[in-house]
Amino acid sequence: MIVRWAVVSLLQARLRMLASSLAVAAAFTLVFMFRAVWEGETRQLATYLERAGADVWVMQAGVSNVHMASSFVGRAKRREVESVEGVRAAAAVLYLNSMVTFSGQRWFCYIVGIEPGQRLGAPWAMAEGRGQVQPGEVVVPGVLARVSGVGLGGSVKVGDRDLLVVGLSEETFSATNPVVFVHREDLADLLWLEGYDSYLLVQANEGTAPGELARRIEAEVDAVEAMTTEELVESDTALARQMGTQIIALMTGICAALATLLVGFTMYVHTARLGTELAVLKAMGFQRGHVYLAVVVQSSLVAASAFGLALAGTAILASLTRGLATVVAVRLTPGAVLEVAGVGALVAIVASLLLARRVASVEPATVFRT
Amino acid sequence: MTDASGVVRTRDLVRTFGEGRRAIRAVDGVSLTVASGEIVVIMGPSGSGKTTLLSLMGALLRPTSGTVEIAGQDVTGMPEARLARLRARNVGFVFQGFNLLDALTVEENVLLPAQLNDGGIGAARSRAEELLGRLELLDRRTARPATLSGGEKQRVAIARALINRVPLVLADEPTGNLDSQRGAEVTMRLHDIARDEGCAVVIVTHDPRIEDVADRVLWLEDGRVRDRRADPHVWVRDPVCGMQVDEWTAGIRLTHAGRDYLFCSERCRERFLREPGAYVQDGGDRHRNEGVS
Repeated sequence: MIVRWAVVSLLQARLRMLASSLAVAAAFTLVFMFRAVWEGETRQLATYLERAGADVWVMQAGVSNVHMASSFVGRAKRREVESVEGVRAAAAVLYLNSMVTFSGQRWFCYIVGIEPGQRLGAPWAMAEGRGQVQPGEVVVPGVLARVSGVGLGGSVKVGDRDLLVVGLSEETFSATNPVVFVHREDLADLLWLEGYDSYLLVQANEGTAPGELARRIEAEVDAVEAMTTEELVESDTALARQMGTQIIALMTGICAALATLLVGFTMYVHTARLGTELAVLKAMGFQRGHVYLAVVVQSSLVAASAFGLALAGTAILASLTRGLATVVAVRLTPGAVLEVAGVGALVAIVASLLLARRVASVEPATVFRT
Repeated sequence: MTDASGVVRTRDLVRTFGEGRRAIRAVDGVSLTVASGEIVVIMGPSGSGKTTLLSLMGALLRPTSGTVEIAGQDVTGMPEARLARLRARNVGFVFQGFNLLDALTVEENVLLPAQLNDGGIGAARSRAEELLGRLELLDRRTARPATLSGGEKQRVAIARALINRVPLVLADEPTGNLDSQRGAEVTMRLHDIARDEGCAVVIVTHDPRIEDVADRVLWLEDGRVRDRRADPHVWVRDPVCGMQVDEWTAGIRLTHAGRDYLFCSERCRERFLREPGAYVQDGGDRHRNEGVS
């Protein structure tokens, strides 16, 4: 009955509850969207690794990433890798994280150097033009071309040289790290690097497990690290997440604090309005814990409705983002939903704790003065 | 618990507010015993300590010194959690302002204290049915307090006070917000049920009509129980409803156009304030406040 009283009395103040829930929902939506954008971008980061066609990636010993990493593997290593039992095919890419200028706009890109006719590591889906590049040519993400206004036949600047856009690729764009493809020689010249590749992309024979092949390559080829695509994707997304963890935690903390204050303020006003009823409950013999339970129920109700509103709001915003601004990848994961639900529960508890003293200080004797 | 020991017993009860030279002894050495089935009315001027005494007797307030026993248990030094349990099982409250919970229906308001009793709400449903029937509230059981009249609200409050078959009911100005007819009706119902169930009732009031149902009337002044004046009543008329009001005990007063008026209830005073001209006529009031010029 006390829980029913708590719920109905809160619902009676509909306008206050709605205003509070909307305000808290706005804070939760910020967390949701931040997480969704971050998760979307992080996932997008790994798309190239997943779609490049390799089962195993071979890189310089001690390197375990592509994202934010440099790797140099001598050209002779390719033949050594090809001779390992279970290798069907191997191809090399040269790779650099650097700025590429599109119509005066600078984008931080993954620049992948490939050779003509190469399939492993080359663009896998094209929107327009061709995916193979000759010296002086470049393939750029279709989204980036659209955003920057550079089309087929236009040019982009990689390092100190202008390259001709011959193809617009699909699934290669992320706001933080779009992938552009250039001829291997152009990138080698840019790097002043001869006789080295960055990564070897290996396909396994049928019946050979990628993990087993990776271990075999590491055993038979000196000074290299071999990882399955799955391991590399996990390593890169973990690195990306690690880089964003503190920012996300800070953002979540700020929004949670804001939400706690909002719920706390709402409950403060609400308990002030219901001060006499709280005193009546205590006079009747309800313990402090009973009254506190009522406040927790009310805080939880505000937090839960805010969570629901935020979830709905985020779904709408995410679909709008996908529809209107495809430059940002948005992905709402069950983990993020659970995390915000946890934040909501914490907000309700902390907001209730803020009121514990107030609830405890309600004097039952005041019922005779009202 | 016997009549001899009393349902509620106070000994040399003192309650002081403030400290040092500013200390006020709201209750000053009160000793009294109220037995089962007894109806005691406590009267006295405003500020005489009536409500403080009622709070002490209901274990809502701790005494500065002296003792309070409820249902044979000394509550003076009892921890708060035990006090709350004791109130739930032994004391029912009726307030001037009704103090019903707006979010609950009539029936839920009545059943609420049963949540704290053995058996809980389920076991109290038939009792609630019985009380609602006796107080003629069965057809209003699903109504919200906001839709009830003052008299109905106070009847719900009485049912709520009695739901746990408590041995003691404490009522603070139960007719204070009711007009004379409804005040009399509520008083009689409280009297009848308390008598039938053998519970002790202590009523603090300014309303002299309640004296009619009392077994004992105590006069509290300056925190002490005193003898009443030899001539206890100087009757004047409430200018709104025409009811007789005891000038000496009436607490609801108003000065208008240089004259003092006494009222039986806040409601009458509010009606007077809205339209004084309707009650103060040329050559005299419609119902003259004869003793207060």
